[in-house]
Amino acid sequence: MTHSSSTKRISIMICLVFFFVIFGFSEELALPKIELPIVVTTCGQSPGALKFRLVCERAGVQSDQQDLLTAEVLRNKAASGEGYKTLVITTGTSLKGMGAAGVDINFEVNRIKEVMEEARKQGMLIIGAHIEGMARRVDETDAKSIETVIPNCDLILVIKESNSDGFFTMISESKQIPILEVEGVFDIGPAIKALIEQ
Amino acid sequence: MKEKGLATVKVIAICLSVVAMILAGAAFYSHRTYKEPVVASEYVTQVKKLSDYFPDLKGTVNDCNIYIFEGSEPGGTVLLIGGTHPEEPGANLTAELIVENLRVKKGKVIVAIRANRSASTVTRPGDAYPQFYHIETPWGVKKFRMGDRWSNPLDSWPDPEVYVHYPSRQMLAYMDIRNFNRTWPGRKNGTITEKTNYAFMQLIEKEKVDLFIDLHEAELEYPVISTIVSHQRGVDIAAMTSMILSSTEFNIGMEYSPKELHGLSHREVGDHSRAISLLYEAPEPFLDRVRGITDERLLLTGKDPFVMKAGEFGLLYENIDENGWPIDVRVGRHASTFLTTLEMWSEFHPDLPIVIEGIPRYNDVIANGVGYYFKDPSAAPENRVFYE
Repeated sequence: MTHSSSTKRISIMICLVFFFVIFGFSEELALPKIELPIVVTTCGQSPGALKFRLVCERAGVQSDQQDLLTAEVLRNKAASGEGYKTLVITTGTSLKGMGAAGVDINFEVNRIKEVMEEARKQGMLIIGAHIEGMARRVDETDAKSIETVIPNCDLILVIKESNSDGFFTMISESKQIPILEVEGVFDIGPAIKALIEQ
Repeated sequence: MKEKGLATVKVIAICLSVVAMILAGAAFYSHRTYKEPVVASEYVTQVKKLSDYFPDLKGTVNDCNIYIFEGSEPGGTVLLIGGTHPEEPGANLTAELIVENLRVKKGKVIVAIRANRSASTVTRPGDAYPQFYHIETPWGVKKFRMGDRWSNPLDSWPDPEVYVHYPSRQMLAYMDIRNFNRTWPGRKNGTITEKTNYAFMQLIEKEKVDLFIDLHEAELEYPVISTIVSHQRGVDIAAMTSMILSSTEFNIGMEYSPKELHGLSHREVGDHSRAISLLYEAPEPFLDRVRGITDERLLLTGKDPFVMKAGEFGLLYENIDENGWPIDVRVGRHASTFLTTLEMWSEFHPDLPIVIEGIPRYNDVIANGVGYYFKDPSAAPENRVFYE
């Protein structure tokens, strides 16, 4: 092999590497900036919203947990001049939780649809989250909760276990919604903080 | 058949029935009167009886031991109970492991190993429950009473047509008037089960209990499994405990206690006392309706091909494989959950810390086996041996 043909091959390989790197980056959807204040609710009354609030608090990020948040609350907050900028909705359901709140999955789906509609009107960032692992992906009510929120949000937030079968990545790709996957639940706080500070 | 021959058959049948009754009666008697020795930790402060808090229980089957451990420094008070449902052995074994090994540095820990002792004096022969189970220890085999979900009908009979819970007046299944986790907060002049709940509520008030923990096991077909159920005043502690354990040791969820479901400890203790109430659930395949051979092996190994098959069809709320859910895993889960709960309690309530030592975590219990932590009653000082 001559020196010139070897250099040519290396140059082609470098070009290919650059091409794939650039191509790869262009395929990755940019993560949006998160603005404060944050309100977090749950579609299905699992403790997801509670867990989100606690791990964010540990990272120094405050959020307002309202498990039964309504569109009216969002309207009133906006009217008072202290409207929320970011809405986080955790998905996955709890029969005990819904029992505790005196609601069922149909009530939850309707409530969340109204909340998301109002959030859209106010230009809020909507984060659809699944942060309690496969234990919250077992039945029809879990599926309804996820279907209501995830395909219609601006950012998907998942822990690795929730996305172990690539389900949320698939939605992200088909709906062109950026996805933020973190290793474990305690990585959520720092990740949210980074998106606030970016 | 001639009349003489018929009479002979009847006499033989009666004789066989009498023999069967005598044998069964002897078995029931030996089970009901079997005493489990407990070697309390050398750091136990005092051992009371439940009747010390409600004298009506004195001399009854449910006058159980109350083990109290006080630290050298003040702090909060936690009450942990095992044996609510004695067909869930992971609960009373964990409570006993704690009683035999605990040392409290700050605060106070109170433990009842057999909270509803009556339910531990009866099993379910119709469901082929074993009467006893045995745990290997370094000094020999330790024998325990298997029990039932409900108090013994010998202690509480007859059941009503419909059980009306006190004080909510919610109507529950008739037999649940003997279910110690459907009769909270109890009743002073009620059944033996209700009186026992009432006695524990008196204990909670008199000992100024801050945190109440009720240990359980559940079938894999039941959605509330591998989880902590929390009264609304304890959700931050329960959620943090769940997240920390799921990140470091094993997956465990967290559920809110329904406000309209009455009689359960996670609801009523929190509603009717100053204490925050939590309930832990660990998986026990022995309780699944689809189980196969029901015996001591299944109780202790948690291995069952029929439950596994149900899992393959997606009918379960917890995973199971050929390793089953051995008793060491179930006790280890409860032990680590208890330890992490106390760590979280102390973090959220720095003015009322509860700091303890001597209790093994999940991996330790699995590595050594739960029996490793039980002391030999024949080698222990008499004043530290108690009977359940």
